[in-house]
Amino acid sequence: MKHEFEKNMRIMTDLLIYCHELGAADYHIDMGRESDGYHCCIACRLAGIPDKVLSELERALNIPRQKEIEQNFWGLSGEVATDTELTLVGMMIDEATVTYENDSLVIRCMRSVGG
Amino acid sequence: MVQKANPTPRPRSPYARFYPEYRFFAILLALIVAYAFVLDSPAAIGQGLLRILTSRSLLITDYMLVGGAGAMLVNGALVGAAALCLVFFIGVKPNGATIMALWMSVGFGFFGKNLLNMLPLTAGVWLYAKVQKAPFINYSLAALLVATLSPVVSELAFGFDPLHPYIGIAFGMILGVFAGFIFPMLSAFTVRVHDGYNLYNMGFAGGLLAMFLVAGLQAFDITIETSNLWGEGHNFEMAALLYALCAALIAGGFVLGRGKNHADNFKRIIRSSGRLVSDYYTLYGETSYINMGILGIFATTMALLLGFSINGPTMGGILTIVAFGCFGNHLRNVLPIMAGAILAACVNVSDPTAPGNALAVLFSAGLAPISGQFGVVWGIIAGFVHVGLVLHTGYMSNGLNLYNNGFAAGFVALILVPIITSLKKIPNE
Repeated sequence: MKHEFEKNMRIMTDLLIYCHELGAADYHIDMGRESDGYHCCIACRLAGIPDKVLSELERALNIPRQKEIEQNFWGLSGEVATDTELTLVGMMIDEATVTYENDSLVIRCMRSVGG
Repeated sequence: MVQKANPTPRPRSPYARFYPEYRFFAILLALIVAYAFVLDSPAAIGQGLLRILTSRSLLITDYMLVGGAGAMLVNGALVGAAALCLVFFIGVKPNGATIMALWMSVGFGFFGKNLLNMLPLTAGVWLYAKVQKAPFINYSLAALLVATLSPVVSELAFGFDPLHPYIGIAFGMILGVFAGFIFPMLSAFTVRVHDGYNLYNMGFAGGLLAMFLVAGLQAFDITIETSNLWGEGHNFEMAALLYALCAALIAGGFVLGRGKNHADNFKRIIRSSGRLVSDYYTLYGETSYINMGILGIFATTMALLLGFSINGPTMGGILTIVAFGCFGNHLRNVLPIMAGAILAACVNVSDPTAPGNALAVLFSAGLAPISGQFGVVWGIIAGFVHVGLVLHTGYMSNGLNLYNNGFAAGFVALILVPIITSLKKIPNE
């Protein structure tokens, strides 16, 4: 697929916007390319996330990857300050883990390339 | 902690690709066909289909007027079946966008799309995928919805007397393949223009392309005469069919989604803005069928109360609202937009039930994310502005773009959203 790096940046931007809207502080970003694809990790300090919010985040990132949706709508991710595209992010990644311990939210994503 | 499952490998058995969602859709198509044969004889339907296939199919060409009610319904079902075959053979797993595109195909099969004029466009998308060396499945949505430009093929094939029929058909097919080739590039870009606040993004892309095609044809002194074929007199039969389809969708939602918490899911749907990408089917499963059915009942009832003729184009508008019931529409975001559109239809120079107004009111639901995100007042304003603009965008594309309301909605979103976001206070800033 084309525009791989730009898509990865947009995914990361969307997740950052999401954390920012929750009131996060002290963002740490890690991103890299490995043999199976791109990995990114966002960690931030965020106190008192309600369980409902965490479950919505998990639901959105748990959506199966859908390349036909990605092809048409990837340009929407990482664009709008008034709304995030978590559902779209879920459709653009293959794996995601969300951990929240000691007021620290860590989101890790993996996105394979090709196809 | 959540660990996302690896994507399920595409099933090898062809039968396994016929997911329950597609089987349900096929059953509803069969019901439409069966109803068609109740309304008209097989001979009349056959002759009507031939007239439909060889019609110019410009916007507005009501296939009910061209071929009769039975032929119109069969054509819609055939276009839906062709779309279903496409997703089946390329192995698309059901999601909100695919289900939406299948229902859109049926709706526009009542006024503009047919098997002849949609094939070259789909072939163009396939060719683009080949050139990009990418799987065709990546462009399946574009392949399903590129038929917004179906009139391009039909008009050139059957609309120009000076051209020899075979030359006209060849020319129409070549231009159709060309338009289909360009379309995926354009539709992926235009979605950024309106930031997802226009659900009918394909209409916006199609309208831009149609505008350039019209200009190109005019440069060679080829002008397109507009069409305004609008059928009447079948309100009872068509409304009955629409109500039956909606009831079937609601029943299907409850039966196929046994055990799901539909009340909870429905609340989540209603709370969402509906902005692209709001895939209600992927997120909430069969509850989206219930949402679709409710929207269809609302739209049909509203059309009857307003005195619209229930014909091919208005049924297409109603089924488009139904289609997006799994991809962005719900009552909370649709009502303000349609209220604004109805207000505009009542105060503008045309009769409120005139074809242009009727279609603008029904298709204004494409701007539903504006009311879903920014509130009732902005929704009413968006619907009001949309009705005024849609007549002008029709002139620009000269009827070559079936999703003309999507073309207009793109401009409305492009103008209104920056104004709204600049005036609104953003939290945490």
